[in-house]
Amino acid sequence: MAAKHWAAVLFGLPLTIALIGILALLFPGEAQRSVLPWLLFTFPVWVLIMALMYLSRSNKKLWLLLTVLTVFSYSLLWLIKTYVVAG
Amino acid sequence: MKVSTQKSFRNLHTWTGLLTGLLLFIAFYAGAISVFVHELQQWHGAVQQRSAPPSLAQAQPLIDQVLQQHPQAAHGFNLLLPGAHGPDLAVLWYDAESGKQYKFAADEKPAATPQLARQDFINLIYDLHFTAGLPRQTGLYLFGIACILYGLALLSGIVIYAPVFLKDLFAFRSDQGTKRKWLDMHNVVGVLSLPFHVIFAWSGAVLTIGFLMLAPFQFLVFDGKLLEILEPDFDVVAHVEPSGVQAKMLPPEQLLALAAEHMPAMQPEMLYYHDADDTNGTVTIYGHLPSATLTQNAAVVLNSASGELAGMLSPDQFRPGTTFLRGLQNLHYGDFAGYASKWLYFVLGLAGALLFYSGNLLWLEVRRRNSSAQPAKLRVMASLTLGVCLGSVAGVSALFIAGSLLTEAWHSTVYFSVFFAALVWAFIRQPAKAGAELLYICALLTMLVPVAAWYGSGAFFLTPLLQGALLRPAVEGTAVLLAVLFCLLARASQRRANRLDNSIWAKTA
Repeated sequence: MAAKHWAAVLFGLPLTIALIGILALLFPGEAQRSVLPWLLFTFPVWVLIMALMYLSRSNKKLWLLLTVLTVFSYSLLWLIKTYVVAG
Repeated sequence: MKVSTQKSFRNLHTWTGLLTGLLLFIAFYAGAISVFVHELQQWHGAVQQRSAPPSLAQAQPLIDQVLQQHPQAAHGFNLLLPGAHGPDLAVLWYDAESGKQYKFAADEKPAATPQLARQDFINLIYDLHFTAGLPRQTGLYLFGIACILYGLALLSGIVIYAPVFLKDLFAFRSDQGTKRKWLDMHNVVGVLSLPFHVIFAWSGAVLTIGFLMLAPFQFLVFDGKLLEILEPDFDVVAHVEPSGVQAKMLPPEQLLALAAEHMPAMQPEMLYYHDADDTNGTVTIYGHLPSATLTQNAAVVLNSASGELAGMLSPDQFRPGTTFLRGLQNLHYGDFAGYASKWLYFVLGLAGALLFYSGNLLWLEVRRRNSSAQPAKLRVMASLTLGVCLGSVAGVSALFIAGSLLTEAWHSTVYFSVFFAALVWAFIRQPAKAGAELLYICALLTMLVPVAAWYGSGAFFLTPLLQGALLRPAVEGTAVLLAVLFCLLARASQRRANRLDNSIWAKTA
């Protein structure tokens, strides 16, 4: 169980920020209208992401998946910031 | 669902519950009472013999006096109008240097003597709701984390309970032992008030650590531009730097008259002055605006020297994010539908407190049966549960007594003395005995609330009923009902203690 608790503590928030960040940046229309509503979903999404981790049956697979997802989501965020938002 | 998954969620529910249960108990009990914060401020005025109510004409001299003594206060201070926020006309100023908030009330003699703000029993209970008595910032952030764990506890609770949901919801098996009874109670309260708990966890997190949570987005996602995007959601008018040229501010009577011209339906409650002695100074007049939406607040911003309109904000002009944010906040406060929503929130708040108390009781009852090992750990948890929960209940009742009989300076001392005395008692006595004893203390102190108010005001609480006034009968009548409830709970735990089995809630000979 400790492995799951630590996974939730360490990966929960970074994954939430990346997910909400990507949605807020990609959402069409004026940023001033859409950003705050997305940000307000941070807390429920954070809780949901952490709770999903407890569905996993293998801790090793869980940590591997979370590492891959984190690297992938932050790479995607970087790409969106560099090419979509700036360009 | 796999048995192992059920086990994971059960473990998660237990840990999040144990870590947050005590904090959330205080938050719910103090929160249930704070729903009526404005009514209680009027009640406090009614049970104290007061001098004549302050008039608005005293406001400008008070402001001048405060600014003379503390010129740095001109950067930002509030003028609190008598009414919804209690009978005082007062200047509130947060001194950034000392980190303290001061209050200068108009009827103080000698005039404009600063006293620490938020030291009266009503504000102490209000602050307990989100600090649990800890230093303000620490308490606030701790509650932010507690809200997240509370969200996890709710979600895991649903997962555990879902498979038996329809079969068991209204089952109340009082014949199958105490554990079963507590569990059924825990489940029915938890499931029926679930939507409200989701709202409390979500809006609670937004209110406590919402602003802090902007930081990672600011740096990781928006590269420092987030606050620019959000500024119109938080400020009625864009911030203007002071010009450096001094200007005399208009008196509050005139500013309120101007605001009434711009927004006639708003009932002003508070004025916020920013750089008020400057030509670019502003006064924001906040007030209540009846509206069909969740948010019933509005604001008018005027130039403090010329009275010129700088901006207005009412719920119908909100942008989507503002509507969402204010909506969440007002769902937390529960004052969107008058007394109907307030009483609902009061009952839900008390039920929530009972949910957390029963959660802890249940865990202890189950644990003792399963293993005889580590009784010290259970003993500490049992004492903590009784001491913290019942200590805060007793402390809050003592605060109401202090409100009728003692000056503000005594209020926090009274609360903490009662709270820590209860905590110590819970640790030195056997849990099974301490539970009933502390509940009797709670009942006694709560019963003394109307007695103290009688002594303080010279009138019995049902007397105003003859003139059709409902405030005192409602407040003190509720205290009597709660006292009866605590008495019943005390008798129940006494009976439980007399049934000798292997539980921590049974007396040992």
